[in-house]
Amino acid sequence: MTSEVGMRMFVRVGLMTTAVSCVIAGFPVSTAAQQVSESRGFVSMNGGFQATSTDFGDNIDFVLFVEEGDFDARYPVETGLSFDVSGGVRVWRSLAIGGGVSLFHHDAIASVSARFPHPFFFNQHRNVSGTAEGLTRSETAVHIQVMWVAPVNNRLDITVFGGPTFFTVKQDLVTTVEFAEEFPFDTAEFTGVSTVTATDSTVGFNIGVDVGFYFSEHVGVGGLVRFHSASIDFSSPGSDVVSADVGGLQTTGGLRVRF
Amino acid sequence: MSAGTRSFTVFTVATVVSLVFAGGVAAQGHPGLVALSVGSGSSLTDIEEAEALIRGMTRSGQLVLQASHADSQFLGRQHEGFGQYFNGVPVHGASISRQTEAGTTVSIFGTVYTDIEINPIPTLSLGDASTLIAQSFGATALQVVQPLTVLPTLDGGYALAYRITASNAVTYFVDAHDGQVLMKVDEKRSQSAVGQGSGVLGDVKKISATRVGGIFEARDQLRPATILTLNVEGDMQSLDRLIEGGRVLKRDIATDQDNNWTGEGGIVDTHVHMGWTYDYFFKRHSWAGLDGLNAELYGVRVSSAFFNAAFVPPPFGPNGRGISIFGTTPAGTPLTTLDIVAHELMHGVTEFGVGRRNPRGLEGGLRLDGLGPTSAFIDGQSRQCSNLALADSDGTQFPFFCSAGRFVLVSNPGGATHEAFSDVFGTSTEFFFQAPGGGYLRADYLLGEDIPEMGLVLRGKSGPTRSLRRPSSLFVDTTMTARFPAHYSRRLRFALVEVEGYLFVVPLAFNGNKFFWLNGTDYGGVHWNSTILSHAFYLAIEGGRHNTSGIRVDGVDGANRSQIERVFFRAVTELMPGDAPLPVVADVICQAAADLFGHASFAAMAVEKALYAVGLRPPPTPF
Repeated sequence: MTSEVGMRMFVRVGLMTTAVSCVIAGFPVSTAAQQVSESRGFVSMNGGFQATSTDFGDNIDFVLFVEEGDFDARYPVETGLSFDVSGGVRVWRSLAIGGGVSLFHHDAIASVSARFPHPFFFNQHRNVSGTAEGLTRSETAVHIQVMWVAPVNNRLDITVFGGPTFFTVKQDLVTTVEFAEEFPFDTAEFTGVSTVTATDSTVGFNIGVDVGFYFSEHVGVGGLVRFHSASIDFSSPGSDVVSADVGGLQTTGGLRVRF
Repeated sequence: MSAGTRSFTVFTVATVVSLVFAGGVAAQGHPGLVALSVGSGSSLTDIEEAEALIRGMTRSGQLVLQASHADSQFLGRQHEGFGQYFNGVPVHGASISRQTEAGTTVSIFGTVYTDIEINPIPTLSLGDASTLIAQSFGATALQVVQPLTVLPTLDGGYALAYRITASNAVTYFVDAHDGQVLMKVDEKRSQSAVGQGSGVLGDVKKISATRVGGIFEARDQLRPATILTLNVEGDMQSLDRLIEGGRVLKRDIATDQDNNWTGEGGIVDTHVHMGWTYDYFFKRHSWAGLDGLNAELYGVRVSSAFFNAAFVPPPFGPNGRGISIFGTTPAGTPLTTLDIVAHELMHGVTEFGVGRRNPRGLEGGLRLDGLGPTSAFIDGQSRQCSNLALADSDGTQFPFFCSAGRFVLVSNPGGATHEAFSDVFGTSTEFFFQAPGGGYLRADYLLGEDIPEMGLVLRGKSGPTRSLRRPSSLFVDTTMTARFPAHYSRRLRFALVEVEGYLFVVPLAFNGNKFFWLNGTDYGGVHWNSTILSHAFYLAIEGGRHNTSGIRVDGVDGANRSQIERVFFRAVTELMPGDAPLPVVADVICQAAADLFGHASFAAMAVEKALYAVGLRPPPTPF
């Protein structure tokens, strides 16, 4: 082991975090464990989950039969697959800078409730509710990270990091609730929705920890826990903005390559 | 003016609704009249006797099955309408309604005449009679399928007459032998004393219109029956054309440039309230439109020169399906409040509903209604009927028609029934859409209360047109003498005078032994006497102690008003015969209650007790 700050790359293979944890736990600590990594840099590729659950809502007013109606859509953002590529280089001792890109994709079922004005009477709205399936949400997060690499030994690196994240989010939003009605029009039946894909960007932050276990000098596996978050305002055709939280807690694992 | 006479001006002011051949002695009612009224509360013997009468008259060709239809509420029940014929000639106002279930009779209501003896061969042709109408009244005879009729006359006899409905919406009964006009019936079922445009009151409501080109027509196509509101403003020629069945022209249809209807609250109220009334019939009674079959509804606004609201039944109106007319008060207020519009449309339902069994619908007309006192106190002296006469301006005297020294009296039970049901459902529609309470745009048991100026016109005092809750709180006209009756014993019956061998009804009205010189006869008191039935409707719902009879009624309560509304609606659409005295109408209503809720149900008892309280029924049988 040397004290020299290296610039070694490492790459992580795409294994799930839990699996990685098992590997780490079961791997015998060799005599080399007393040595400390001198890597100068690293690259990681991860797959896993964005393990968070949140939702956001949208309320749209519209005019029908010379009266205002509205609908409310609740969009759940549940746990989904996440992919991530990151890298970094040491710039001073254990301090490194780097970046990464993570992708999150989720197909959601939104719940929709609407109040449709009555064609004959004021203040006698018909309430309908239903679901809108297959609404896609895609988050692309570009992370700028300041890292602190703490080699435990030659096989094990622990890295903590944090920094800003630039999010680009595509979100399917309900623009119109479709319904069927017939005389005497006192009730209406939900029949479907029309949607539009809204795209917007925002800036947030990320913090996290990465644990890398190396089989060899350059290659290993690891696990990453990252919390990244921001708030975003979508421009919706039916309302001014739709505010939503983006990001969440990512738990991934995969290949590590250091150099 | 000589002693024992009354100025002839009174006579001429009277609406000469009916004139009948004067002859023999009038009895309490028509001597040959047999009223049938058996139902759930009747004994088996009563039903068998009524059945035997129907069988016998059917076998001899005197009764003919005219129409039948399935009950719209009870599977397996059937309704049949029989008309009476004499030597193949129909008898006016004689019809029977029979309800059966699996071949067993449930109820029978109606009237027949048993002592008809006339020559059934007319001397005049129909063409001759039509020419007489044209010459006398300037109206063209409409095509009539069965014009010859036997008319029971007010002298207790019968006349062979041509029944000719003319283009002026008046039906004339012309003597088929000598061409005299025996009776006239105004076919305009009128609501002569109500109204208000909610537009005037500033209430904003939705109007279902149709875009045609760049403008919007008051044509509702959202409801299953198209509702078309016409606007002739003050063009009475256009109104006549529409009444007479003329084609609706583009210019007749009420329009607006941007569908934001401003400046004509009467149009908005006419159109919207027709739609609401349609909704009420549909939602409460599963009844589609006026005819139950979603025929197009026509309403026409007349902004001047027509101080009335009316329903003109088929064969009048565009497409021969009837038309509702909504006029304007002298002060310019549209007669288009919800209760008025619903009142007029209910006339249509009554026509079509009864028409399912009797092709002529619920027939109005003067009927003998008993005898009055022997004398009346006139000009400060008691005058004997036999010595009393009206005098015209040149001194010619016209004696009152008396029997055994007593005034022979007439009324119009068919017309009163018509008006009562229209008031009942005008009120019911109001309760369906408006919150209960006092003041404008509130539901109550008053007719035309949103146009207090109508009371000013009618009786010189601001207020509603009629009250179902307290009928007697209102005078019937500006003489401020007679009040609307709340009890059958107080109904207004009218005296007759003889003019050159014919009888004319005059506005000398009797209420028990009281009498009143009124401003008119109201077609035999059709609006005035309607409050007897409509007050029973009120009592059946709200309960209370009847002012005249002192009988206490336990009503079903306002929360259950739909029960009583359904009873009355079933009575008129499923059971009512073509003509009946008010007590038979009361029996019909009780039968409807028994059909719907059972003879011993609280609702049926409330109805029966209410009709007993107003003097139309015997005491309810305890269970």
